[in-house]
Amino acid sequence: MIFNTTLLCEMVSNGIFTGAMYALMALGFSLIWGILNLFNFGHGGLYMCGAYLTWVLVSKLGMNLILSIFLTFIIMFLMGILIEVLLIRPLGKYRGRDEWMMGTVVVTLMVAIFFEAGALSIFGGNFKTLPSLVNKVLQIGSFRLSYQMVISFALAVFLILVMWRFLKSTKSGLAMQAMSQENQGAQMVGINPSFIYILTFGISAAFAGTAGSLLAPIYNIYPGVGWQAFGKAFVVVMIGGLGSISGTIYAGFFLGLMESFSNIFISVKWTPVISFIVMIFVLLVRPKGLFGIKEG
Amino acid sequence: MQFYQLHPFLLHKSSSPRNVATLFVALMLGIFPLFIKDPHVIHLMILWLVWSIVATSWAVVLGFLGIFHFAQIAFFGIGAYASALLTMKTGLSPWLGIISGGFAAAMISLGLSLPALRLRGPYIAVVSLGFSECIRISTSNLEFTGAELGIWGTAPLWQGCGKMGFYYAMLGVFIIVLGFLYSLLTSKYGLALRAIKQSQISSDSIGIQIYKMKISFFFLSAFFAGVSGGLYVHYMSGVSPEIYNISHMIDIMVMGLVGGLNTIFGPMVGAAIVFFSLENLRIIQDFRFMVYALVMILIMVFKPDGLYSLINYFFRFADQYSMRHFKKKVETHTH
Repeated sequence: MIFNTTLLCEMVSNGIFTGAMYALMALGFSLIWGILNLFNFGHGGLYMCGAYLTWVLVSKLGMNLILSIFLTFIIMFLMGILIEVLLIRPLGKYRGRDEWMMGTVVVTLMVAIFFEAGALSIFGGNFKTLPSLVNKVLQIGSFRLSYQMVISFALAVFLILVMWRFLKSTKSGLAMQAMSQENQGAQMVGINPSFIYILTFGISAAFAGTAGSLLAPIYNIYPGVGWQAFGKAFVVVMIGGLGSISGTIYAGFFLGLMESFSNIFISVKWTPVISFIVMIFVLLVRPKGLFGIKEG
Repeated sequence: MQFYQLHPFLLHKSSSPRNVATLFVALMLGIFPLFIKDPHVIHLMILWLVWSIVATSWAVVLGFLGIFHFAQIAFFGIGAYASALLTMKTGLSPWLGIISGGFAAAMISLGLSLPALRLRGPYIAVVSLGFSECIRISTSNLEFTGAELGIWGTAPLWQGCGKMGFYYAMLGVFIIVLGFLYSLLTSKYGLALRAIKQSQISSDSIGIQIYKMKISFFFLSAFFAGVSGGLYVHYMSGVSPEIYNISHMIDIMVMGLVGGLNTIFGPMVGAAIVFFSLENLRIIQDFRFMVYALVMILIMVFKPDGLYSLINYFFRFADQYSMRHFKKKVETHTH
């Protein structure tokens, strides 16, 4: 293999791009774990749902891609609220007991299966692709970068920054952080838990769906696409440290870069194995995650 | 979430409602193929027995140790692959192949459990998910496991054993596994496991070796999963990496959780419900999985400790009745 700057640039740009997507996916997953104390197995299903929603909005209803991404964000937010109110809330009385874990695992798994089966019966099993917003390619020397990737990346970073500001400087965001640090203490100072749960689920679903819709013009869409994304979110959250927001973002970029390097230097086939081995190693050396610093 | 406390009298009396019901179910399972000779039904029953063993072996680890993990399907697949490879490459008898498949799965489980069981709750789940993905990808990429195609053409258990022979062999293994687990979990060992689940610190302080107990029980669970994998591969006459698919692991989890964890017979009930609802919903074709998901959501929202607890209500009632009967008898004797 000839190693040159073009290849290096391509690896780095690909890595940063996928990293931003991983971070976007994993943020919602991490938030739900931190605040509701449940493993959301439906996260991949929500991702797939967002991708199909954008596909319908763009290619069936003929909307603008950017507009439909924001519509997806809003619809997925409402979907998350619906899931929380209809399915997670009835289990709330078991919170902190064994039944809570069993109930939420099965319910969220079934949400994912429901979405997958629904997509399969409505849209069929074949691959769907979206037309890119801009078909041009940015060319610097022999290094090529499609504008679509740049736009998706910019939107993802914008969303992550909005989320960051929301968590750090608004009242609801601070309340969410308080809930994830100490549930009962937060309730004692007057934070309404059911409002925070709804908000968390909504935001998490919205971010998963938006990650799906940002990737829709670049990768294929099919009903089982969510599981892969879910596996990645899992790994990212673990490398970054459960419940840590900044750790999740760093770990997203770290995993994206690592995978893009291992795709080139080792083999595409063995990349998932390598990322899992890295994750297991990280967990054994630093069980709190690579960037797992308790956020104040 | 505790075992329903039985009165010592009922625990040891052979005609207590539970024992009678268990014997009755075992007898029904034993004689039913004599009346229903439909090969499709027997096929379904065989698969139900296989998945019941796997689901039980997964659920006892969660129910008695509180360890939630995703690696059971990997152990199942390793057992299947090891048994198939051994019997085909060395001409070993399938029975020895199945047992060595179980041991292969159990030995490989040490590779996961030795490092991972030092971690806490959610981390074990993730490490085991990674582990089973690694096993899946390695199996579908390596040459000697037949890559994507898998291994086909394994021998049946004995020459000319039809579906019926398989059914009885499977039922025998199933009863041995359940009986073994039952006697183990009601023994001192099982008490120690439950103590660990309730409080690690206090069980540590009374001298239970937590780490050793966890590793050994995990080893046992992987062994049973491997054995049922071996049975499966000899029944289906082959295996492919598709077996490691996460959807099978989801099925196992749903069987265990819907049936109920803190009993040995719960996952069996769950497996029956999952298996036969998926099978009978074939008439509605495309919407099969949607209806299935809705049914499971409804079950879990209303009965998050599993369906077996419903059966337990009945037994509690029957126990009370037979206790009252017993007391009356004692009173008439003493007067």
